[in-house]
Amino acid sequence: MRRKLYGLGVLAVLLVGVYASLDRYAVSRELATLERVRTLIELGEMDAARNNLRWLLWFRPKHSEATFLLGLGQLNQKQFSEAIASFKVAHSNLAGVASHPELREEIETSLGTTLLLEGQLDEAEKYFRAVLERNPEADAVRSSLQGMYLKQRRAHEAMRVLEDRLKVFTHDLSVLPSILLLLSVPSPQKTLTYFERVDEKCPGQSAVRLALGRAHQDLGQFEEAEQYLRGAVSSNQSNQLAQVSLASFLIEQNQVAEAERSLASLTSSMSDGASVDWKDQYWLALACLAERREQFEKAIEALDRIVDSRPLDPGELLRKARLLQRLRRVNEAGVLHQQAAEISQARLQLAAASHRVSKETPTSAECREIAEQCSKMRKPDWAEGWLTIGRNVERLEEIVRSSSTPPELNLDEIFYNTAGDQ
Amino acid sequence: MSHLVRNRVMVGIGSAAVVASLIWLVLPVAQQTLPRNNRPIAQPLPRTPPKDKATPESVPPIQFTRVTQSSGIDFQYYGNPSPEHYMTQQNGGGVALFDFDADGQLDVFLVNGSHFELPAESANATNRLYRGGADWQFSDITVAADLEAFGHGMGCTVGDYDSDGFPDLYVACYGRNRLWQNAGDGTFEEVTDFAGVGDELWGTSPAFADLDGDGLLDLYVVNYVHWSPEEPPCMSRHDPPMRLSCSTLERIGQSDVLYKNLGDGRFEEVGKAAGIAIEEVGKGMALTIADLDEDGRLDVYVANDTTPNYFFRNLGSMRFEEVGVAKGVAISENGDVGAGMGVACADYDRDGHFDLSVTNFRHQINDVFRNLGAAGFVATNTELGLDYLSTLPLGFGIVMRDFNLDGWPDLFVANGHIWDLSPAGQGDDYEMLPQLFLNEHGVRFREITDDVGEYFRSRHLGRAAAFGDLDNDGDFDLVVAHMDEPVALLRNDALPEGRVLRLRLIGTQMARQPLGARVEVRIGDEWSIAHIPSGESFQASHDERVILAVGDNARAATVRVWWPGGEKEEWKNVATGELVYLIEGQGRMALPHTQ
Repeated sequence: MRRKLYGLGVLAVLLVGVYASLDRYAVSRELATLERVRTLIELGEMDAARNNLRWLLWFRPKHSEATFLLGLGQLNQKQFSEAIASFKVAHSNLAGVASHPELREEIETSLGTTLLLEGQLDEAEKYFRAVLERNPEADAVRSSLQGMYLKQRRAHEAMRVLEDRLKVFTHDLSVLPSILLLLSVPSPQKTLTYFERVDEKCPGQSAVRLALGRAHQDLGQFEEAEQYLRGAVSSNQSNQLAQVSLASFLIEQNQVAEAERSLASLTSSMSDGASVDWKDQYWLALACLAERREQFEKAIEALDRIVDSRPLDPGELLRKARLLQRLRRVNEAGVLHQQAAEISQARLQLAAASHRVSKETPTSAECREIAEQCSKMRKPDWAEGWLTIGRNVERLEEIVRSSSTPPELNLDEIFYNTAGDQ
Repeated sequence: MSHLVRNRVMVGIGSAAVVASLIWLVLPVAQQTLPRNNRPIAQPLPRTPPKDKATPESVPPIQFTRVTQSSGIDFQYYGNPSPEHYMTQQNGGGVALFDFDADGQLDVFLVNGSHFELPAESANATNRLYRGGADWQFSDITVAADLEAFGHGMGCTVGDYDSDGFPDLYVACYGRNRLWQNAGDGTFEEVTDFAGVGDELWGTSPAFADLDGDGLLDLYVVNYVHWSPEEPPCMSRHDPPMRLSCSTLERIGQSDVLYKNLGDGRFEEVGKAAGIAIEEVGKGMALTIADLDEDGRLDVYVANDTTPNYFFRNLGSMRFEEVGVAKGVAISENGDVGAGMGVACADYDRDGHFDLSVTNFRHQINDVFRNLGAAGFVATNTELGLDYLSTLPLGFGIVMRDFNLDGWPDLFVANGHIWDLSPAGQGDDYEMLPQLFLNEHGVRFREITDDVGEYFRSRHLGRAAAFGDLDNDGDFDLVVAHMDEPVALLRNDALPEGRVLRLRLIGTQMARQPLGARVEVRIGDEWSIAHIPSGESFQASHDERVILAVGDNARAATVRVWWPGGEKEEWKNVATGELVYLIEGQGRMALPHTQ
């Protein structure tokens, strides 16, 4: 009996040991698999990533991280609906689990971002807010939230998020693009105060001074603008964007001699094929300078560099038209005036139609009208998007016509997904 | 009280009649009629070449003093935004400066608004006429002049359509427009029905001018958009949403109307036949009528809100062709279709061509279109330094005249938002500072708003703005209408650099009041041009007299007049300093300076 008991004890120990080994092996294999999957996703090898996840999910179907990674792969393959479903499963699997705060944040952030891409803004906001409740310093999430508010034209809410970001802002300039974005909302004076706060925290930054200079310029505060633009150049002599911006400002202020010197120093960087990000600004400044000197042919030559790359910019078409008029090439100018007017009107009608349908469900006819405007603006992808919406709406209209109780229509998601950023 | 006023008016009329009869007795002096086809083009002044920091060494001071409080004008616009924020409550009422009783003193007419719930009648909020006297004293003679009228008034215009020597009055409305004939005895009689000019669309800015050259003033009425107070309210996209007046963007425009004067007190609407009622319907706010392409015929330029501006080229025989795009004046410099609120017209660079300027919405640039003659117009906002300075305000009335009498037309803009967005906390101003820009020899406009008087240092809801020499001191004063405060009378206290030439034109074969006529003045080798304003600014009508600075030593000038649709005529040795009447085909006469 004792021997039997002893034997059973040994067996139990052996079994526990085997189980522990197996479990340890499984855990380590699981961790290795998850690590491998992340790498594969980063490398874009989605099939391999999915194969690796398959056995793990078969073995542990409620594995949160595996489900999350599956969603991440789907997201990378632009399978947004599938990704959202996976993220939601991963999120619900974590329910009631106090651990894994980092994974939870990762899931909620990804879910919010994907919902944002799908135009499900209210739900996206819910997940972003959840992340921020637990981790107020999650700047990437604030950034997404802020971008979402801007997209919805909820400017004051975007401002509030930006203010929160600035509270935890420490040393980098990652908020700068956001502030630049905010310049497009109607509060330039308030926006300027943000730049000033950034400048206080990061004194002497050329990029910040440049931004401040441009903001003052937009506000018509030319003395301050000049001071900051000069500051941007002097604090970083190699900031060529600042040099071009200063030159453009000086031309506008009729200080052409200094502007000319400033542009001349940049000419060597403008060899053919140069891919500097201030290229258009440089050619534009050169065109304006030549125009001021009444060297209209030279101005056209410089401007053509921009018109070629931005054929749908009515402002540049009109600028070239003006130069042609000064050369008394009236017919050529007339063609450009006509093109610019057509583009501008198409833009305006597009804005009007978008504005109209953003407030209420559009009719299929309105969708077709917008699609037509998009085509006139040579935006075939937008046009196709609106035609798709139009077809969907048409089907819904048929349902409405044949049904006594019309369905609730929420077309926000299709607008945001298929109509482009208008 | 009204009896006393009426007596005063009658005395004024009596003296004016004597003066008027004297004018007609004067013999021609050194007049010369030029053949029509031998078109004299003003020799352009050499334009100051671009230079660094172009600023003249000494800048003549411009000072405006607000004198409303002591003037007797207590007009307060009635149609301010109500909680319902109807669309009709955003434009304010018009202003007209004209000498209705021919006493040599400008009078002021102000248009009132209304509310749908509390109509103007219930508040006795009538249009008002103030008779001008000496020392900036005005008396309200609305009742005595039989001009009491209520409604959703918008712009107004003045023109002697019946050629009796007394200017008549037309008011555009949301609803039926109205015409009052000046009886010449200090009273007006409403003749809308008989004249057939009671257009019922939403009229904004009207203007009289002889557009077919038949010697009679025709009437152009700019119309706005289709809208009804029964329509659902418009809400902003703020959180929480705010109720605002509806955006023009989503409205359908209304065709402008053109009334041809038949010469017997009646008009005929000819917009469609004339080519004014075109397919691409604009949403009009303002206009100016002048010979912009220098072919001897008056053209019509219309500022449209969120639709391209019109340039109706006059083809003759009351036919027009819309050429805004081809002329380069349809859209803004940056390609935006602007919100076209007001229009100014003057030769800012003194090259012998009339230039245009248009006020637009907040976050849009105001336009300046330089007239190159045959090559059309080019936008010059940026090179003049006016782009950034005009993007923050929302401009309405705009006046381009030489306020400091240095020979270069300056620029005044009345600003104010149509929506009070302050609850949204986005930093959008509702009331805004007006702006004054000094013309630096046609090369640059420099903002001098801070330095030109108290009125310019406070914020207003500026709308219509009219110019005229209200105190007969030889410079242009301003009258600015607001939404929420009494109208502002701004006395120009600038000290002129030299003498001025002051002219009033009287047609005989052509329209008696030659609105839109081009005037060319030569002093030595230098030419300047001016015109009799027709339309201009926003919902306003202006002093018909020409005032041009001629420098310190010029005692006399050569003056050429292009009578609209008629001959050109030249006068030599026209005296400077005093007001001179130039009478078509009959010479000139200088009148004593009326104080």
